[in-house]
Amino acid sequence: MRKKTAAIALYMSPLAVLPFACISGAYSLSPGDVFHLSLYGLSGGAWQAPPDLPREAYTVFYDIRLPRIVLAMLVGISLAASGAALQAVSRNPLVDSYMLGLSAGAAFGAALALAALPVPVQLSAFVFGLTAVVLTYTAAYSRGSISPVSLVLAGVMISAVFTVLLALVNMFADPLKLRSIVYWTMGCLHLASWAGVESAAPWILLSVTFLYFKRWKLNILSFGDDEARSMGVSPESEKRLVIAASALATSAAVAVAGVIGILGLMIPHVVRMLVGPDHVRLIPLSMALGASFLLAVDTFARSTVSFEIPAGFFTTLIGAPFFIYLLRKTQAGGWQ
Amino acid sequence: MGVKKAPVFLLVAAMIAAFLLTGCGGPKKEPANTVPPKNEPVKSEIKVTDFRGKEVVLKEPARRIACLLDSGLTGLHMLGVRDEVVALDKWTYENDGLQYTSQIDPRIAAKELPAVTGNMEKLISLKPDIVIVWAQDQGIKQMEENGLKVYGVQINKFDDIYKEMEDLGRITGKEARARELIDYTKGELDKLSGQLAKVSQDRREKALFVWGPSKLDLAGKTSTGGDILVWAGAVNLAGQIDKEHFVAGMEQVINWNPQSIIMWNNKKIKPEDYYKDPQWLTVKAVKDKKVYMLPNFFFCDLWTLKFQYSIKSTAKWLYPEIFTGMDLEKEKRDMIVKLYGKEIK
Repeated sequence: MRKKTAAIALYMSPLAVLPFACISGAYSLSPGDVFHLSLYGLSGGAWQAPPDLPREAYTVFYDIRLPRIVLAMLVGISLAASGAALQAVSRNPLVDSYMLGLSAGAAFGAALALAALPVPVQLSAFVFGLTAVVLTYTAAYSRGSISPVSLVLAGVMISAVFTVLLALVNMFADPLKLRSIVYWTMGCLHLASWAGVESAAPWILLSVTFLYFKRWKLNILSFGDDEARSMGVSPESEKRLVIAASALATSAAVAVAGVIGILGLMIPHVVRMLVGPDHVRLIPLSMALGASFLLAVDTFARSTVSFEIPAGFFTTLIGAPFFIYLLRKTQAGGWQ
Repeated sequence: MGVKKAPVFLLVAAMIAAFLLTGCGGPKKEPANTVPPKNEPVKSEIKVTDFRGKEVVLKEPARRIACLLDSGLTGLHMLGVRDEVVALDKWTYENDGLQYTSQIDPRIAAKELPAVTGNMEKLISLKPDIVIVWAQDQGIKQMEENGLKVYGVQINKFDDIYKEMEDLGRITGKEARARELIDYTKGELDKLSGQLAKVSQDRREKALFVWGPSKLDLAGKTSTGGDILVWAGAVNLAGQIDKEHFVAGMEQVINWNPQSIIMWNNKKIKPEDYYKDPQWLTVKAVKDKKVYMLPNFFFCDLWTLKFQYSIKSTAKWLYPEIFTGMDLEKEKRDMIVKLYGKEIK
């Protein structure tokens, strides 16, 4: 019963955070303003908003706040779902969405674009993030199979290589660009726009939908390769597909929002602690909590200070104590 | 009484005789404590206190200078000190001003001067009389432990630039030239301030200074970028943020609603990027097409005396009705000739 209540609460959590996200921000919009603005948008402009609502209120709501809200939710969904899926296929609780060298590769790509290359930062981050995953997978692949341990170790090594390359770029970057690189490597939802949403949403939605439909298989894969084979599932091909989908979702998220830490590791664990390890529920609930957590954290961040602090600071500072609290209460959420 | 005077007389006479005798014969010897002739400068130690508060002592003007700070190199070039520079910062070869610096020193054009940043062995082997470096440089301790004299620079405000120039003038024996350049810069700014005095407080433009590379990377209260706005007679809307450089939230920018935006020269963003971004369309500066970008930093950087051109440009953009007769291209050309003693294109 408690698990069922927790599951319902998790499913509803984005809806609970959303109204606060809509009315919070440096620009003052009252709940009434948001109500009128929402109806104006939903009616295709037919709804008559109060005449004293300034023009910039529309810009703030539709061009600044809403894309940021949508992007925060998409990125949260992406990181949490791919983190949960990768923990299942690697059977390792320390794994997150960045395991495959993706964050280091994407960070290097973004830094290179910021410091030297005449290409968009998002594109460079996306390409290098995926390149890192391919390298990790290739390095771990041996004799027709891929073991969880070699996958994690290869990911650590590829991450190390890209981290050194990132340091090299930082060494040669001028101080102004260096600051942007730091911001980017710690998450940068402040650059959210509809263009960013449009570029990331198809990849993220496609990938997480795929992971959602694979949630039964993830249960089987989490038992181990031999058990999976005995149940008629090809672990190699299934793992490959899950890794590819996770990498795609995370790369798309990282490309538009930078590297937002801890979320992909923490959210699946929190959900597992609350409702158990069944991936049938774990995957969608991780998506829901990932969306609401990042949305809540970003709303807090953009409402409390008049300048932007990278989202990664807050996800870690707020998430880590809560995670430790749950860890102590639930004995590692069933991994022990 | 006459008897008492006799020994004194004899003593004086003996002294005069001795003086005459020594004066007429034997090699001439300089007395121990003589005053040198007026046309010969007094040779004394050169003492300057750097931005760390550390006193740097040189026996004579530096003849071998390792300048690991690009803005310091600019200061030396303005003083007419070129051939004395024996080493550079790698940044000098990497920045966008290289095409101009190359016109000042052919060794830079040919990349012959070694960039020794982080290479302690190379630096020591060059035996510089002094190393000019950023005051926060982690290598200073090691340099000093190896017997190198270090002048640390930290520019937080424009007055620091004057101090740096004065000190560089003393270090290189070019005090008069340093004074001339400082007086010129102060004179130009005084003229500008006189004209800006016509602008009443309530008519001051409310502006933002964008460092880039994103449209939201702004200059705060403790930034030379913010100082440019204030010196140009504007109000820095981000002056309430006690930071040198920060990333603003877009909603906050809309709250501020700047009348003008001044951009540091940037390859990633241009004024047109503001004009076509839907998030910025309600901002007054964007609606009025009042987003301006400073030229290549070589002509207006904020860490050398060329900061005056940033202020002039900003003032002209913000108050065109006051500076109707100001031709920014001519101002730039004249300033470069004055500061470097030659045209640089």
